[in-house]
Amino acid sequence: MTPSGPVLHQAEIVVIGTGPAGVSACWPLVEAGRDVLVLDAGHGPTKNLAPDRPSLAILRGHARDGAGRHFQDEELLGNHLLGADLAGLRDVKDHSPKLRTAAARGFTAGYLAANRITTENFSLVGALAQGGLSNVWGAGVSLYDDVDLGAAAYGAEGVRAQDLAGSYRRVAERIGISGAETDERLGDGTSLPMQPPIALSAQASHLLSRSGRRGQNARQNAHMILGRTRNAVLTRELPAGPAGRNPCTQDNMCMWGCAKRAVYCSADELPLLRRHRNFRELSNIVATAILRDGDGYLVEAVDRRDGAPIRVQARNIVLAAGAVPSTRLALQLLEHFEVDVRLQSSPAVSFAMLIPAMLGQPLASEGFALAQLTIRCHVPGADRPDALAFGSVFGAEGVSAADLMAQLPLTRAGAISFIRHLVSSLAIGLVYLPGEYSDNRLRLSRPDEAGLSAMSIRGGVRSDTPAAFKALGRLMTWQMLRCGGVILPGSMRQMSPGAEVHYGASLPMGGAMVSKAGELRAAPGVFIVDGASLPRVAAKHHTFTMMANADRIALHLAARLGA
Amino acid sequence: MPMGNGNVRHLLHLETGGRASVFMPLGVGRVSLAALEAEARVLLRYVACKEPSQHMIDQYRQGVLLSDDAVPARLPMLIRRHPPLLRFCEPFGRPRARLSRRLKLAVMIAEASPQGIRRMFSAGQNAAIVTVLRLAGLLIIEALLLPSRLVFGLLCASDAAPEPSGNAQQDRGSS
Repeated sequence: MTPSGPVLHQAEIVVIGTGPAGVSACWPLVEAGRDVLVLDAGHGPTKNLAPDRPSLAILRGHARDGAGRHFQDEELLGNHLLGADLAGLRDVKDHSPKLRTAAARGFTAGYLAANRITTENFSLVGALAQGGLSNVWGAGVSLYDDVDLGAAAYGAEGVRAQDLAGSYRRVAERIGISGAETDERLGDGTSLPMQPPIALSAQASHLLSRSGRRGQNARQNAHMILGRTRNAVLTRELPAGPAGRNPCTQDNMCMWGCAKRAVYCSADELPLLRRHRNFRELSNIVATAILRDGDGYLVEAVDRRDGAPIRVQARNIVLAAGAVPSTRLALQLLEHFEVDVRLQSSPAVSFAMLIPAMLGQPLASEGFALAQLTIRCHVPGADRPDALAFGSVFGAEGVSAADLMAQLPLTRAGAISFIRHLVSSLAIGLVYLPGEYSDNRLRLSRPDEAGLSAMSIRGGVRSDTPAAFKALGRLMTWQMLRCGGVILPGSMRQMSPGAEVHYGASLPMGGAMVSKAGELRAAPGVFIVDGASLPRVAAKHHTFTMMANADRIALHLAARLGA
Repeated sequence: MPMGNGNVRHLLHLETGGRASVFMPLGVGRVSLAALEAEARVLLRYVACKEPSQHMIDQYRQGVLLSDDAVPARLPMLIRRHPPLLRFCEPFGRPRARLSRRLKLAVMIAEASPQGIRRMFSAGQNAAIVTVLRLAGLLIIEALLLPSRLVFGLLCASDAAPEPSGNAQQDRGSS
């Protein structure tokens, strides 16, 4: 494609996307005084939650409000749990239930069409919204080590944990991480600035204490480690943090969206960035192509409101549009058509678990519904050291009953009785395998007459993935039993490819197309800072690493431009 | 000799269209608000164990109409008259069947209503042994129901909802 038409905007650096990676890349550039223009496909907040929303215990009637009354209002109850527009009644198949309970209606609408992506056996989730998918982030924070980064495979060009260490700290200070120093059992290191951890639920405490006792046994430790999860959730005020973010009040409504905004969302940082005069943004803009333009580039984009074309000229482009859209823009720029490109995702299973010691306990009056415990274990039978499975354990009380029932092989009437008597002793688990167990392919078509290319995704898993899950299921069943949890027979469900929303490593740093600095080798000045450039998708939650990597790449770019 | 689907349908007079049919296809093939309301009453009554409020019925109807599949579910007349009997023919292992999806919708609405909440979250504290006995009883009942669900559930789930390909449904963001 050749550039044509007038240029409407100019900037030194264009950042595409306001998700966690885009915002993390903006900060070092803006603070270094660079001229930054952000293109954002969204506009405004995605969902307005009443800050005075009652806790889940009050809504469900097993706690009274401040005036000592039971909550009775049928319409308000529906508004809080389903949304005034009934967005909570959407069918999101096996995607995270937060997509229906916490996200506004239309949150994921138009994403595929706007990015010209088609899928086959792959559930691609994305949002044309300020903050992207961080609006529904589970907020689990993990640090990648050298094995997770696949450093050995890339030699001197490989990104190592020590390259990210400073950025991990900077991002943690910026967004607020709650956790405990003792989390080092999970290999997450101890050097992060952290706020006090969120109080564990009775179920999580029980599992963890049993695990600790059993953990004295080195043989068991080698099989499965259970530790506290670190979360991007405030437990204290964040110094110099965005207005409106408040500490977690443990209202157990996390799955319905955090009204206190204690859970990190990158959109909350935009008002802080706007205070800098060298930061500009264009909202409702979807980038469609990047073209070479002399020493720099032209970003071709479309205004979502009226379809008007937008053209932005810049010397440097930072791609943070989401793993698949960023890959599409990069492949199109490099004219890398009709070639299969591998996209990693983390095949995942969910399960329900009963904790017999908690049987008959009353429902809690407060709680935290995101992950409280993290599971780490080696995939049984796998001989590679990087074949590590990773997972989370959630209390069932903070999950929608409809989603819990979907885990149970019972009739609805039976499941309701089951939940009524057992919800206080139930937990939900989610376990991921590393990206090597996926087998997804991206392919960019040649441009049509209008000069437009389309991206197709064909999803799948490696042939040994079902066997790995089976072996993992047996291991987890036995190990959880030792920790005091009984995984319910028939409750283990494998999610469809992509439904877990862990995508990346399509253009890995240190590989043939992208340098260690995240820069396209054949297009100097174009950087990829989102999941697409991660060297691999480990089974761990990758958002925090993606943010740290974006910070690292942006620091490198700022230093280069400042020199 | 195993009994085929056709024989079971014949024995139970489940064929549609005939005068002897006890199977009511509630407006299959077209959107019928009255049929959806009748369906809402049955399914919400089944999950909440109480006559649903008009607010819940309206929510159910809107939930169906906003989905990719607004065709009313086929429910036998017997179940329309006695919703608790649905327990015998809930589809087993077919989460994408129309009836399964409608039941999930009914639960979503019930758990956001006072009567549903009372049914689902009001157990209070119990001795562990009482809970264990209840659980054992429940599992026995569910095991006994399984053969019936396998047979009748197949019939009730036979009007499978159209499955949107790839991300189509999610991308519309409307269902």
